[in-house]
Amino acid sequence: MKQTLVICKSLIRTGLLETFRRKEAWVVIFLTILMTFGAYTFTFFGVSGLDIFVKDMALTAVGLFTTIIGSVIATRQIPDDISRRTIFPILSRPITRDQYVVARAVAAFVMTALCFVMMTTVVTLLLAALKLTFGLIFLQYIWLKLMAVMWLSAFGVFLSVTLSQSAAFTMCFMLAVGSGAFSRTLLLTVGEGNPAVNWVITFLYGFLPHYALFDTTGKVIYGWKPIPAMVVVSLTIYAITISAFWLYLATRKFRGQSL
Amino acid sequence: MDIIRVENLCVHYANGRASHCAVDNLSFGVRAGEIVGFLGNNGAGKSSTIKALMGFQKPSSGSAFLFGENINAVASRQRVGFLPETALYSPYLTPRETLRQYGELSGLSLSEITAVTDAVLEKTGVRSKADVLNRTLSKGMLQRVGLAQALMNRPELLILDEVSSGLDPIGRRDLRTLLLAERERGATIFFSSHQLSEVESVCDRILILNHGRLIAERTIKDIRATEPSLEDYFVRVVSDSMSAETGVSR
Repeated sequence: MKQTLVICKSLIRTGLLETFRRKEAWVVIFLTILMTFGAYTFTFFGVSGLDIFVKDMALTAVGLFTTIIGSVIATRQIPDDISRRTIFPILSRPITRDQYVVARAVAAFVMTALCFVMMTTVVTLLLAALKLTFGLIFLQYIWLKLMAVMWLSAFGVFLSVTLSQSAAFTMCFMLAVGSGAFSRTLLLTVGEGNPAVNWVITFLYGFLPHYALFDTTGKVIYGWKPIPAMVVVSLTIYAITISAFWLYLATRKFRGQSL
Repeated sequence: MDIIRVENLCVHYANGRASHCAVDNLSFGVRAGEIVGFLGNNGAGKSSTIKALMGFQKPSSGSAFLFGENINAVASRQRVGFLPETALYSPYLTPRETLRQYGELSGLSLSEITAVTDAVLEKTGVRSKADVLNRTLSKGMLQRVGLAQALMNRPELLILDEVSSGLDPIGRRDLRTLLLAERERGATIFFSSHQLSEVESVCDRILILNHGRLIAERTIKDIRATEPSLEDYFVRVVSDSMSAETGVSR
């Protein structure tokens, strides 16, 4: 366990250096500011009552860019090492393949979480400067988004050891963004067919990613009261369980893979 | 005791329904303190053997041991320094940061890393470029960074794949000096190379591979006594092997 933490720390440190030197984090922060401020500029033309619109724009930008950067970071961790051949000197060290996969997923999670926290901080400060604030539910929004990022990182790493890098990114991004639509479609079809079909649909519903469950953007912008703690705890347990499941599959797949 | 022991090793690559044999029933050993050159044409199976030795490629059959431990055991890699063929170290890190990463992965403490890094940078000739990004380095300089990462844990065994790839004449001379110094320190060295003059000047023994099979195993001293040069010997042995194979297939 201690050795895994040392590996995680090392890969996180170098991963963060790379992420900031690649300037990806700065680009998404800049775009978030641009979108938020762009929405606010409508007030300059005499349009009033745009609070909800500006907040929506800001949090939509944060959510979308977090998903994009999270998918990119998670799905490139291992393929980058393989294409640069740096996986060989890494795995020539006394570390197991399982430790390597877990460390890469943890590194992806920390990098994406840090980008998300930076974007959220910038947006909150910007909105505060525009005299727009969020309620207490915003803290739940941040926590649930971090859980979603954990799920996204584990899922992205699993896809990256299964598919090519570009296919893994496309799949990861589409399943994350479209998870709400997939879930709704499945819920609409259940009960219409015979029991066997319903069973398959129920299984699919359980197996398919539910990234959208963690998104409380709508509740935050409309100023809802905090959601019950039990729901947050359940979603946290779900995120940890499903992330562990994807990581388990990723380690199983990577263990026997020829490099 | 053999530091490296390979017994009846076979490596196959699946290619659709067909299977390509890269290493065919290979057996050899490398003793402590030796410098052994691993030679062969392109596609002879050198890199596949090295990948199998490091656990990157699962052997189809046979077994291999490092320091008497099966290659599947993580502990077998504790005392090994490995240089892969043409690795592109992270373009957004500096050589110093790269070495720190590999030092940490080797289980060294920060104080040990700090103590070793400057010495290793000096030894490999990377010190003047230690704090510039890897993406600005030439291929030869990146190869030196690779060599430096292999030396970070003061390994007892160095496994180097195509070690002289990308190095200029001065780099190759520095490499020879470095390999001999590492042997003086007590390290065992096993490396593949196409630079026969360099192999001749540093190795104690050579292994020649052709189509995955070991076709020759001799000491450099022996070759010097009976052959005009290592190059002549290599060309003759490989040509003979190819002719024999063609004869058999006919």
